[in-house]
Amino acid sequence: MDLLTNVMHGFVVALDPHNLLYCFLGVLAGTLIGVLPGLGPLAAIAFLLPVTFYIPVVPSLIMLAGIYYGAMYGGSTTSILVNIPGEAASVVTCLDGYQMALQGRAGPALGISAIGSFIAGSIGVVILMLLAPPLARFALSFGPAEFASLLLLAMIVVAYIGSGETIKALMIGTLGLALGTIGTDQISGFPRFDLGIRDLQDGIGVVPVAIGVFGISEVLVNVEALERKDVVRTSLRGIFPSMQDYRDSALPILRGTLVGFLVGILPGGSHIVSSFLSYGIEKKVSRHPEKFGHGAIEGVAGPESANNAATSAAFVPLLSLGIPSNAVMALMLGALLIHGVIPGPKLISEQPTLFWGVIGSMYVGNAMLLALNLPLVGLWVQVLRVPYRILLPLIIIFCLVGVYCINGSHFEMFLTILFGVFGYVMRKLDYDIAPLIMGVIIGPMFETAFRQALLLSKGSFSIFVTRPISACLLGVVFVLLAKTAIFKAGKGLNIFKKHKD
Amino acid sequence: MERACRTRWTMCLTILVLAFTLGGGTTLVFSAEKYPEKPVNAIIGYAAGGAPDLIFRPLAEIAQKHLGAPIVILNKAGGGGVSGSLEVAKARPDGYTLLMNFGGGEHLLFPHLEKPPFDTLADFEPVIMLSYYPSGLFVKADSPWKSLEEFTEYAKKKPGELRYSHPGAASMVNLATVTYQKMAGIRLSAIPTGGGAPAMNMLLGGHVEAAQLGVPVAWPQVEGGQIRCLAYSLPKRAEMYPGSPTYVEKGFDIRFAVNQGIAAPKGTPKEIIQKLHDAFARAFQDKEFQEVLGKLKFTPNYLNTEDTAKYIKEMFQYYGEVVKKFGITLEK
Repeated sequence: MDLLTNVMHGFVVALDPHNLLYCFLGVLAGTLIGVLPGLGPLAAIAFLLPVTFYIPVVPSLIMLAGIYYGAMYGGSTTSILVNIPGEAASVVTCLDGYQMALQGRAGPALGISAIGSFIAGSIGVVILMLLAPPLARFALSFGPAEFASLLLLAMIVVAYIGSGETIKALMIGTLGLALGTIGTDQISGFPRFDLGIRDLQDGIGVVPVAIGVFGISEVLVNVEALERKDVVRTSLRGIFPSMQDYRDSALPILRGTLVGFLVGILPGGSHIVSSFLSYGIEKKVSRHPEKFGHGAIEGVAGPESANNAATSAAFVPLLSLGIPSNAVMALMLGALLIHGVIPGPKLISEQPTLFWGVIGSMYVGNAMLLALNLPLVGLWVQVLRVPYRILLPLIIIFCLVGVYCINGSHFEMFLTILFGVFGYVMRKLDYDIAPLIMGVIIGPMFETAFRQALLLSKGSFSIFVTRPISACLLGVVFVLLAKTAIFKAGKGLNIFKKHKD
Repeated sequence: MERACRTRWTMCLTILVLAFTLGGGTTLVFSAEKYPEKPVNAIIGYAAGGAPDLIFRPLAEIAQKHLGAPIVILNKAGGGGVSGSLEVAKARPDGYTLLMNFGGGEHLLFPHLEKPPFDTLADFEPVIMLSYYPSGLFVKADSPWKSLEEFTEYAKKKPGELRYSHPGAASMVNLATVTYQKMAGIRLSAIPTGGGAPAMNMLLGGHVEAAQLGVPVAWPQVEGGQIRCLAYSLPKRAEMYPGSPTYVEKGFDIRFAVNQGIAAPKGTPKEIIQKLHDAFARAFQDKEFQEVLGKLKFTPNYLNTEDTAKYIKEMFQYYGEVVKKFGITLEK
């Protein structure tokens, strides 16, 4: 069978010692970069891009791809251990992963995260291999109207993810949306709410907010707790996930893979959106939604799988149509061009060695990452044994340096600290901080997509319902809202009945 | 150690770290004769992974061998290149801070639309000019318009109906379409996006009828047969972009290009500028770099220090005239 021959060919290429070495270097570098908060695969790939000029195109792409999905594996490590997202997409893993660590279950959390990532990455590669061209065309048909509807759905789902009172989650989410409006408006080019500060003209980036609100605030909370002697650090209860953990995580991993892959193929689709969506879905379908936010392993398994599936999915538009769906893919595109490979619909047929070799290497890379990360779990959990008086200042250093590495901006470091203090205050007042991140990210994306859609339709709102995909998504939104409304109304009626009796 | 003492220690350490990082570092003064004595910071005013990275990172790799000191590329994104430019404008003129992607829209076009925090002509010492790229109007390969004339005809008959995507309101790329519309007396509906890739995706997905894109972003799709170039903004046809006409030969005097040059802060000593120029010029001539330019579809355009200064001044005035003549403002 043709497909089988191609896959075999791909493995032959991937297992070539030369390529294996580059794959290993890539995934190793990726993991380490993922672990460091702030620094992401984009900066690493940009930095290593000139190195790839001196090596042929197949190992180049294998290495760069390895960095990319490796970073997704590593990003969850600090999220779970110290509540700092190593990668913007790992923010969601902080919610339940860190709670699990506080309960002494850091090992299972890290383990399930690695296993889920492996399964999602592998399934993602299979789908990439089988369905790349039609999926890419589907992705292209996702225009602004569809995006706006998808993001609206994401926002509704996010309202469910808070573990505290809904009204508080909505307040924080709205604040996030408001913060997201700061900066130069993409559509009109006008600066908004920048208070005359030039550094605010590009808006408040998600990285300073995420690292500040999760990482720095966590440090502050712990410093206060140390003072009051109420740090409870349960001793380690086992390094590996239990059978129960595996059973609980199986479906979330599969669902997360699906969600992650679908959102990941969209140009502009973001890893964070896919992991948040996965979290929301897991919470919605769970029989024990109250466990979320307090160490539910489903809340780690789903999102971690989602963001790895999204990574595999990001290659779909690039390899099948030559379209980069995000900045990392744009760099890969650059790498391809520099090596004289013209990405486009003919890439698969004209460069089979490249296409199937990269696919083969993604299997191999995922396996390498699993082999790298699982034993490392034992090492990582030792980090938790470091006394807080040493660990906390180190965390602050890593966070601030990580933020600085992105744009060399002192202002962003200042923002990180500011949001850290803000996050601390919010936690003292019992507010959920996760919706803030969602607001900051989704707000601007939704607004741009919504306005672009209206520009395309020349002002007519019908575009959102006449385009089929958008109509479907809006239908789901409607159903979700209707269910909640009916449920609440029902409760209201019941209360009346009770009082009458 | 006693509990309270230990926590206070932690807090102190925390505060110290915070203070230290916020304080920032200081630079020492180095002399011009022994330049370069330490690594040179080359600032790109765009986020990592953008088109400038693809050109300047390889260039820096090669140039540092000729310069004799590491050239460290730093991405300082913000304001569409303005933040990075401002940082260099304010830096010490000691040759250890350089601005890459000098000569882009933020230096030549933007100042005529809104007052920037730097002065393109007064705050920078040009070092060298390396290349440029034009922007072009693209349609899908299966669209009914085979030439710019047909497109213009249709647009005249149905004003406002044709939609085009572009990378951003204040970009050089968009300026080409805005001017084209004013020259041709037509009205197209503009759909702004956040960059070349999103704009191209919109065209490929059939959401818009045309797209104005930087040619390097679009060319792989042209070669792949997905899209067609109706015209691009160079004074005359370039070998690099075969099979497509220029705006000029279609009767529209549109000659906008985004330049890739290097500049240092004003006041940098002439000897240092000369050393920098020589290092980058030799890197430019390197076969591998020329290949990179060719593959990425950037048109090579080497100019030495003096000529770069003249070129920048000319272009600055040119864009000023275009803006005035067509009454172009940011609101469009």
